Parts: sequence; structure tokens; C-alpha cells
Amino acid sequence: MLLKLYKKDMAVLLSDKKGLFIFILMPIVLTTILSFALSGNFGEPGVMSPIEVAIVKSYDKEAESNAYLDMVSPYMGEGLASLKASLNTELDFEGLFFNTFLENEEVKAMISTEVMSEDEALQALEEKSVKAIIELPKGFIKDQLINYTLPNRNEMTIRIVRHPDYGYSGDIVESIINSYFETLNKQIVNKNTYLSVGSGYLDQATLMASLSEIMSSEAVSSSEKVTRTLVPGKRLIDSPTYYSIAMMGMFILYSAGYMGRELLREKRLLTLDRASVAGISYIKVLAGKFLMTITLCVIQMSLLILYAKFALGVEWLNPLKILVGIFFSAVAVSGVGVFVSALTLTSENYRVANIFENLLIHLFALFGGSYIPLDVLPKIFMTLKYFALNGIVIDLFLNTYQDADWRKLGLYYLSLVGISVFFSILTVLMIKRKEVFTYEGTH
Amino acid sequence: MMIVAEKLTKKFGDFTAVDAIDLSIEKGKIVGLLGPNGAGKSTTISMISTLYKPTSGRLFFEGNDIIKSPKWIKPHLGYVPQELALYDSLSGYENLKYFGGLYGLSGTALKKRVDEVSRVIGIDERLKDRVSEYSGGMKRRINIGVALLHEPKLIIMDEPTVGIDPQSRNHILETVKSLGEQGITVIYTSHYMEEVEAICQDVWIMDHGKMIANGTQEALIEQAGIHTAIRMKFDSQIKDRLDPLRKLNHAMAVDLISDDELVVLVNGGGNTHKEVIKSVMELNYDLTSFDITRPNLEQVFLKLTGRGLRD
Repeated sequence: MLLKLYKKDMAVLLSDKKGLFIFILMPIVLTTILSFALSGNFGEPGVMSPIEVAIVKSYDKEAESNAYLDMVSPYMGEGLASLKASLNTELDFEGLFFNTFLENEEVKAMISTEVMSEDEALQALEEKSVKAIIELPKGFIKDQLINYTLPNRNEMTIRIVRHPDYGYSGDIVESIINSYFETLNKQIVNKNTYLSVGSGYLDQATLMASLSEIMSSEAVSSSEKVTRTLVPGKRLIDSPTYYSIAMMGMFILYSAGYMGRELLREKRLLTLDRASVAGISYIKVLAGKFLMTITLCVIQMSLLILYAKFALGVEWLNPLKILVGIFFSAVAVSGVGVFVSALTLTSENYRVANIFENLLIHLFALFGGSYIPLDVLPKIFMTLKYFALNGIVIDLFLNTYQDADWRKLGLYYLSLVGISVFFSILTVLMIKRKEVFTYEGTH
Repeated sequence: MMIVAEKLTKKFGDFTAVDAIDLSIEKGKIVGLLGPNGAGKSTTISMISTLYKPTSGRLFFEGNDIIKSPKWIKPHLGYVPQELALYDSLSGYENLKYFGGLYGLSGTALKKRVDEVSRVIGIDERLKDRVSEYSGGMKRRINIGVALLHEPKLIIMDEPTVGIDPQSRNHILETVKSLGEQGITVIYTSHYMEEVEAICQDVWIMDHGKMIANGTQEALIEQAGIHTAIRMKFDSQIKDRLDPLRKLNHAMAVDLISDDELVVLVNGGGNTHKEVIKSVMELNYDLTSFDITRPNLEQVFLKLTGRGLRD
């Protein structure tokens, strides 16, 4: 009997061309659009191209160097000539940043820089020919000289302007620059220690003359501290991979929405009454629809996975794990679907199904990470995703993509089965109650 | 008796839809359940169909209590709801096959029954078309066909001819008659009294949830005290020759309308009106024309309730 109900439901489903378009083509279309539109927020697989960065110099090297010399000359005596000379060698902070740091091979592999005026830089950012701007502020030279050679310390703020479409690129640039200045800060601490201890034993000229040796030892090695690597065994998630999974997670919820309307639709068509007169219980009718929803989800997810593989080049490593993931996700969706269906039938109107489709699915899509990756949202979203079925499905498939072991995936399978069982039990209780009410006419 | 109801009552909250009705339906008869909208017909058949549980009373199918155990009636019942209960996006064939399957038919037996039923309801040629492409009448016929697939002993039809063309209506009425001839019991609800008159052997009349009369059509007419009226026109004045007419057998009353025109009320059903006309002819009165108005269920209902069936 179940097979007959299932076959009929499938025939009705397949006759609904508009519905099929939403279920199957829409996720494919959206995956394609989002994959390309938001590719800047994701890493690219394989070799990484350097991130283009504009550098704006807001300082005047010569004027700031002179100002510094005027400030320290009363205390330097004979050492002043030596200090002047070192401004173009050991204490050449512009040279250190541009020639030593940015020209370092490791850094060049990650960022490529070009000095521009502020206007040029902003225009380049607007045109996306650069992904970030580093603004070296007024006082960049003078403050560093003071911080390195005198006991006092001036605060200096480097401004990094990021393009919103390249959030991750901006993060990388910021990390590299932070790394550079953290290294310099470490040397300032060394310098301060040297000055406070050395001043007890050395005259001022000797003290200042030896300072350049102290500070030149670590600055160039800062690039070694900024690297971009993945956790061993992990694969980079690019935008087609992410969005094929994210859209899959979202659009299977529409299958639950479709299912959610089914019982009331049959009730209104009176076909449910006809089945009831023939001795078919609501639960049996619902069981047929449960199977139909599983089939719909399996078709929907399989087609999207295949599309992602053949059209977008997503490499799924383990087909068996993909199939098992699809199956358990479909079971969970069907559980939610029958629950929505029972609620809709009980309330005798489509409001519940409408709220599910027009509001809840979009909230789930947001909280579950179907619209944007949750790691760019506040941390609370990472917890909330477990309350959204699509969040669990997305997590499962991201792990499946990484070829996670069966034990880890098993926890997701269990969660999905748990969701299905929980909602199915609630559904059976509600439907039994509704069936009795209907028969007794007290609805 | 196929169906027996005793003090059958159905309440929805404070509203009593069916009020302690007694009903007995003989096997193999086509029974009309007549009444205006809201009379309680649909609720009554919903209880017999086991869709509603009665609030009180007893209900039996072939002697088995179907309130306690609806399973007694379900395999033997064909149900034709008032609205179309079909899947519009499927073909007529798919609908018949699915609903036949719900009654346990399968394989060649199911296919054979689908073929037979589609011939009976007269849509075998367009059976593979989608129901949404059918006319209203064809949809109604499929709606009936679904209830015939499993060869039920009892078929309940709830206003099956609402809103359809005369051709389909006639086809449906012929189908119902033929079911009766095959010994299938049919409960037919309608507020089209001419349909009930045309096909039903017994009639039950409901109003305001109560069963107000029942019996054969003749019995109901008799019970309501309504008579056949024969309007006669003569070639000359008749007012001086009324006495012989008043003495005619079955003539209950003679009312003069004009000098050469009168109305004779005839008692008894059947062909008594023919006997009256024959007797007038034998009197050698110069009768030029006559018009017979037979009593109908509409008049019966009007007499019993004081309002028309479609009021």
C-alpha cells in the first residue's frame, strides 16, 4: 500500500513543473551566481596569486629625518655624524620596510605592492585592481626613529583600507603588516633595555653608536612569521564548493515546505477523505509522502553535487560518503516536512507552511550559513547553526568534502536521524489526535 | 436491511446537524436523500461513510455496528463526495488506478476494472488525458468512476450532478439506474427533485437535521395529500353539466375556472388520471384539450415544510 501511495505522490510531484523548477534548477542557478559573485571571499585552490596592495606614503622622509636630527643633536656631540650616516643605512626605516621587508621573497609571494597617491589608491581599490591599501602615516619615519633611539615612545597607526568583496585578502594583508610591526616592537623593547642598562656603563656617543647593531638583527626576518598555510590534511574550500553545499542545504528545506502543504492540500481536495473511506489512515498517507520527500531531496542533492563536479569543477573525494550524507540529510528533511505538514493540517490553513517557506527557511539559511559563511559573522552564529537543519547539513558536507573519517561523519548522521525521529514522533502524535478529532467531528 | 440507523445524531458544538434520525435502507434499492442545503444530508452520509463519528445513536451495515467498527463497511462502500476528489494533475487513468489500488486491486484485475469502469462512465477515449483538461461533466464522471472500481455493495453519491452539462447529467443518471439494476444499493443525495424522481425508488426527506418523511414517491405524495390536477377545456359552456363530472370515479373535486374551462383533482396515484379522462370522453362532452399536472416531490416538500427545496 505504501508503494502505491508513494508512486501516486511521485506522479503528482513530477507533474508539477513549476515546483520542480524551484527544487532543482534554482539551487543550481544560485550556486553558479554566488560562486562567481563571492569568489573573492574564498581562497583559490592550487597556487595562490599575490594580493595586490597599494601603499600610500603620507610622510616626508627628509623633513622627518631632519626634525629627528634637530631633536637629538644637543645630546649627540661627536656621535651626530655617525647617527646622520646611519639614517641612510641601519636606521633607514623606509628602506627597511620597502626594500628589505616588502622585497623579501616570502612576502612577495603573498602581496605585491605599488606606491600610489591616496586618490590613485582609492580609485584602484574601487576598480578592484588592488584589494587593500596600506597607508603609512605622517610621522612614519620620525616616530620610528624616536621609538628606536630614544627612551620615549610615540604611537603610530598604520591604516589598512580593505575592499568589502575581498575580506579574506584584507585579513591577510593586515596579518602581514602586524607581523612586521610586532617584530619591530620586540626590538624596541630590546633597545629600551639596552639603553637603560648601557647608560650606566657607556658614554652617550658609544651608546648611540652601538644601537644600530642591536636593532638590525631581527627586522628582516619578520616575513618568516607570516605564512599562509592550511591545517595538514585539509583542502581549501573555494566558492563553488561552499555554495554548492550551502545552496543544497537551503533548498532541501523547500522540499520540507512542499511536503508541508501536502496533507492539507489532500484534505481540501477530499482525496484524503476518499483514502480514509478506503481504510487508509492519515499516518499511511503521510508515510508515502515521507518517502516522496526523501526521493525529492535525493534527486535535488544528487543533481547539485553532479553539477558542482562537472560544471564548477568541485572535486568530491569519496562518492560513498556523499551518498550516505545525501540519504541522511533527506531523511532529516522528510522528518521536518511531515511535521510542518501535520501542523498545517491541524491549523486547517496554509499559514504554517507559508511561514516556514517565506520566513523560517530564510532565517535558517542565514543562521545555517547558506547565504554567507558563518566565520565572517559574530561568533554566536557558529552556535546557532546547530539549530538550523541546513547548518548541520552544510557542516556534514564540508566535512565530507574534507574526507573526514566515518566516526566524525557518523555524529552528523546520528544528529540527522535524531532530528527525523523527533519530528516524526511529534507528527504521529499530532496526526493521530487530528484523525480522532476529524472522525469525531469535534474539529 | 443494508443500512439501519437508530436515533442517529451528530452535533458540532452546540449545533445539531443531524437530530436523532431513524433510517433503514433496503439492499439493492436506489434511495434518494432529499432536502435543502443545510438539511443534514451530507452529515448523514458522512456518518454512514465513517468520515464522521455520530454523537449518539446506532448505525449498522448489514447488521454490523459500524460506529464501533468502521471496518465492516469500508471495503463495501463506494463514496462519491459532493466536490471533485481527484488529482487534477494526473490523468483519469492514473486517478482510477490509484484509487482502485487503495482498495487492494492490483495487476491485471485492476487494469480490467479500470477498463470496465471507464466504459461505464463513458470516458474511455480520453482516459490518458490529464483531469485538469476534462470538462466539468467528465470530471464528475471520473469522480463517480473512482467509487465503482472495487465493485462496492453500497454507493453513496453526494450531489454528483452539481454544475454539469445536461449530457453528462443524463449519463450519470443512466449510470446510477444501471447500478440499481445490477443490485447495487445507492444512496443518492440531491436537491434536484427531478433527478430523485427519475431514479430513486425510495425517498427520505430531511429538513433542519430531522427526517420528516420517507417512502415511495407515490406514498409520499399520498402522505402529503397532493393530487393530480387535470385542466380541461370544452367547446361550449360547461357550468350546467358539472354534476356527472363530480360523480366520476377518483374525481375528488371539480373547480370551474371559466364558462368552458375547469380543473378536476384526481386522487390515487398511478393511472387514475387516465381513467378520469376516459370517463369524460365517454360522457360525450365536447372536450377540446386537457393538461395534466402531476404532483411531484417539490410540492411534497413544499407541503411538508412550507418552503421550496432550493430556498
